[in-house]
Amino acid sequence: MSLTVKKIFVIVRKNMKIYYLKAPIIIFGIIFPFFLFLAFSIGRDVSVAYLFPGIISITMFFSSSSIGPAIPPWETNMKTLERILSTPISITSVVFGDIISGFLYGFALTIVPFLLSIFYTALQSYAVVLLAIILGSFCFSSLGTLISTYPTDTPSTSMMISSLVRFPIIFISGVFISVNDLPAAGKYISFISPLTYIVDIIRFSFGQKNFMAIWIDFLVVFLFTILFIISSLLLHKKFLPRRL
Amino acid sequence: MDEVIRINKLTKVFNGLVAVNNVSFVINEGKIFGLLGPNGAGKTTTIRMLTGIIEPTSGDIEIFGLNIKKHLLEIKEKIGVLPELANPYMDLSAWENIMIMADLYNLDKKVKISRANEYLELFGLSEFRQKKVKGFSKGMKQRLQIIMALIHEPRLLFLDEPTTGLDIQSVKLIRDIIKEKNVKEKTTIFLTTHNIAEASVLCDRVAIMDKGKILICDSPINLQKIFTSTQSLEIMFDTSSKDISFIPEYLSSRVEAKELISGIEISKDRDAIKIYTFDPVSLIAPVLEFSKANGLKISSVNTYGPSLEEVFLKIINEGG
Ligand SMILES: Nc1ncnc2c1ncn2[C@@H]1O[C@H](COP(=O)(O)OP(=O)(O)OP(=O)(O)O)[C@@H](O)[C@H]1O
Ligand SMILES: [Mg+2]
Repeated sequence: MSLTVKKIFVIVRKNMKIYYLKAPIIIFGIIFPFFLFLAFSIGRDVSVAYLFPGIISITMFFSSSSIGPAIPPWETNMKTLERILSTPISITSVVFGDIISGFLYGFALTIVPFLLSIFYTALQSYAVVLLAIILGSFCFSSLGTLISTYPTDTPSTSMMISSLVRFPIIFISGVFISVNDLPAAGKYISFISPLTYIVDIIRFSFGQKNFMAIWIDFLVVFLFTILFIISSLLLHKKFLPRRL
Repeated sequence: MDEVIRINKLTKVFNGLVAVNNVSFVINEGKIFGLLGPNGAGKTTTIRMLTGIIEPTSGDIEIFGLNIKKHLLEIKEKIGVLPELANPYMDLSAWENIMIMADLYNLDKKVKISRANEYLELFGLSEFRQKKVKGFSKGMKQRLQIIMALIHEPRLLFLDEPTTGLDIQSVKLIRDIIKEKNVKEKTTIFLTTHNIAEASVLCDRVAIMDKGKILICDSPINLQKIFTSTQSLEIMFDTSSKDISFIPEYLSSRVEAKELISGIEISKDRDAIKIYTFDPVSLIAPVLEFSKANGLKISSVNTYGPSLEEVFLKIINEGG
């Protein structure tokens, strides 16, 4: 294993131990999507199977991007950041460590509703869903890391900004209402959200109506991921040392 | 002798505030270099630039002959850093904290385990290795953080105020180990402190910094002259019925005392006088004699070591 990869995984392990593998974080990650699910399903005449793509997408989106924004402000606040910056690890590796941590957490939690869905309904393609979960978790974790570049040392400020970014995304991405059923303006707005494309892929895999060729969906999510990673790197390189 | 650190015209400006101002010096291998200065002098900013954590506004830094801009990771492999205001990870154990560092420096599994055990023992933390840092005292945290800076046995160690705010035992332990590292392994050490005594006992060379500038850089022996002339003797009197304002005049008339005195301050509201001198002890006798002869009751006599403020005043005054 190359030295850089090794160091990235030192950061991943540290993040897992300190931030992710905590009972409340895991419990929250599991129950939160179900509450959202209830909120959207109660009083509506839809089948459980119909709602699964929404649950899977929202779990993926929420869990992958949830903890990332809090890590740099927390490390600034707890005064652990300066030591990490003084060791032989590049800011790029630290950023990738943070992204991979969010990815692993998001992936693990999204597998739960995915497995449940298999009991309820037959899928068109398991591989496509799996690929979407992998790419999607990576993309949303990168988004979380991008949000984390905002230079504050107060985790709650960072979480506030994170909510400001993430909640609107849910509402414009056709998570529980298909984009096809949105009015024209809504459709256009939905195109700026990476979540729209993930939902589209997963709807397709569940044999529901999708609105775009899935290779385009994958390509767009991939491009969003690259965009999030590059901007995270640039902004962290600029702001991380200034947090001290 | 090999140069370990060479900095040339180093400057750092934070939105208009010049924190480090055109500083140049060279530190040779195997030396302990002390940067002494009051709050806000620019010590931490200097260390942060030398350890590659922040970039200088201008000037050059070479560590082990390598330019820091071009060889940052390579330099970071070889240095150990104890930041001024840092913490270990509170939710992890002492052992886990050390292992994170060992892994970032890519130490071999066997090496990291045996070294971690050895250092935990040396710093008196063996029995706390599996305890979460959350419950550690300040001194224990600081000792752990020094282990974290030492685990890869760096050739150059930066310690930003390693002993500030710790109790005597921790201070002594830390100083002893710093000295031992330096003597036995020829580790070059760059430390900052507010404490003149610490700088004098530990360092081969001391630079005094204020407002971003190095005012003077010399061996402790040479600086001692400045340090000692800023010691003082404070005498407090028990009564306000008698006037103490003629004491300076009296002391000045005694030739043997006069030569010892570099300044006298009277504080009337506290009924105290403070005499600046390089030899406070010899002044006690004439003051006692005088007080006895004049019926003044002494409530306390204190001697003070050199304070940083006084050293500064002295240097600034002498330097013009
Ligand atoms: N990141 C920063 N942004 C703006 N100003 C800064 C920053 N870091 C330091 N300064 C300023 O630079 C000056 C020097 O600070 P520095 O921390 O280097 O002093 P110091 O000698 O380490 O002081 P102390 O003994 O209190 O630790 C101070 O006036 C400080 O306010
Ligand atoms: Mg400082």
